Amino acid sequence: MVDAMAATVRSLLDNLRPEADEEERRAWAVACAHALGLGGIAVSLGRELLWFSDMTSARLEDLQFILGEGPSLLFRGRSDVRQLPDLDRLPARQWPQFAAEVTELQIAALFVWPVHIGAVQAGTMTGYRRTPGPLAPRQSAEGRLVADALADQLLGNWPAPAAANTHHGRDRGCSGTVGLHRAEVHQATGVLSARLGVPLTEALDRLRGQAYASGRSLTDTAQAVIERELPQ
Amino acid sequence: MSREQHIARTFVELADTLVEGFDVIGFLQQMTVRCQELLDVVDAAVFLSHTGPHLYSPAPCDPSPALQRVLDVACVQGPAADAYRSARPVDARSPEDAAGRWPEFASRVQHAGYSLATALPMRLRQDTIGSLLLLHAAPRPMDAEDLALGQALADAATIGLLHSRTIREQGTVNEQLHTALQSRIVIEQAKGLLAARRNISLNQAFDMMRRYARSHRILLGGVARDVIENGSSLRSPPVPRAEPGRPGKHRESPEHPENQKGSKDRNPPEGRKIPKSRKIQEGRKTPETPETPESQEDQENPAGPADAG
Repeated sequence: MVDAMAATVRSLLDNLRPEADEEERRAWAVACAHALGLGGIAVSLGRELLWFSDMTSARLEDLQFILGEGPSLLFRGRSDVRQLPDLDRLPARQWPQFAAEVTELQIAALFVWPVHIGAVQAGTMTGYRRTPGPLAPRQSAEGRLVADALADQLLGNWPAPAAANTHHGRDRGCSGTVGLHRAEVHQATGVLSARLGVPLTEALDRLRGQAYASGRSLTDTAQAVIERELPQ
Repeated sequence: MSREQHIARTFVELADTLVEGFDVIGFLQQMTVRCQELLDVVDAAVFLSHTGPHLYSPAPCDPSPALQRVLDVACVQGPAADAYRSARPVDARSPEDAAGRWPEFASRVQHAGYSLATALPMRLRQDTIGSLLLLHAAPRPMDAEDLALGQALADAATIGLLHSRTIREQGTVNEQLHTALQSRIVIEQAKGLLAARRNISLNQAFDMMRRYARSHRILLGGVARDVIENGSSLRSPPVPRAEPGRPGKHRESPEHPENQKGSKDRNPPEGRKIPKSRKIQEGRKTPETPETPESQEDQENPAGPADAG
């Protein structure tokens, strides 16, 4: 077990196992939240809540999707962390219901990091604090490091949403790849995007769907796409 | 240019990172080229550490499949991984020595046609951010002089990287490593898109992107964004973009806003030349709005494309 208080973000990343189960992921998220000086974090991919450290974080994510408002939505196109350091001063007209609910949850500040896979914005990582104030530059940058590590996890280990609808259970087909660092995965994403006329985000989902359905690794699937579609 | 001049110039180049729009990928790629020119090596590759225990190679060189297989395994086994972990130079005395220490790595090195590999840590004081892998044709270790020069290049590159403009503004090493990783991914995605659009190989697509960047004097990352965001197939000149923070040389002058609108067919006033790029800019929206304060940005991003899946 990692010592949540003493652990640095980097050592936490070294301890993130690709095949971590739900319990481990949660413990890891708790440790990360503490290392980042946050009360909790939650990670959503698309509209799916994937990782969360505590019930408050999970509730925050749910709220935004139920209400259709909140800082994690409308996030596209941003590359930096979005900070709402003092929710008391949140413009009420912007998210009236959401603002009321966060007061109820006694949350003072919210921070949203984009989870990027190059030009694909895969999701968001949202952290909260019970005291107001902005993030220190180090916290903001380390949060980004965690977001990158999570993107890696999501890419390598999660069934694509399309495949997830047809397959149930915890069988992930392919796991343990270092997806984010494998050039062919990103190249194949680009190839599929052009061939199918869909945005990169959807192309990546299709690629992951193909890998999941065939039981092959993401890397092998990507290599096959490149060999099939392009002159060598 | 003498070797001494070449070396001196390289060090200046590696220190020249305080420029606006510093391109970390281009910088690292340039460094590997300089290693090939200055040292007795056939190939060079930079490895960085980000998100987890493994290294990755951020420069999107277009290696042969054999070299690619070397780089893939070098991230986890071999001198590059050892030099990163130990923060010391690592090499093997002979191919047999290498085979004993790193069987998988050594076999791929042999298979790709190299004889030996050396790796140097990329470190600054207690921070080790990655390593530099050098691949040799000769079956003997690097001589001491080359080794020292190689390490000096690696040190200079590390200092350059850690003191680049990006990092001075953002404050941390992680930020720089994040940028390197994400820029690399964007370039790979663009390579795939361009290759499929033009039905060419990935290496041809990458060559085309590099040539385009050079001939239009824009960064490789900018070319990649153009391919992804504007659907460019690099057949026409780049669309000029409003660059935040770069005081507008090409901005329309404020004094005659009326005259500028729809003045495509009108001759410019006597004695005034409208720069070419300004003409192009007129009447079109820039693809990317510069960073704006929070509240404004929210209104500029209406629901956007629906989440995939």
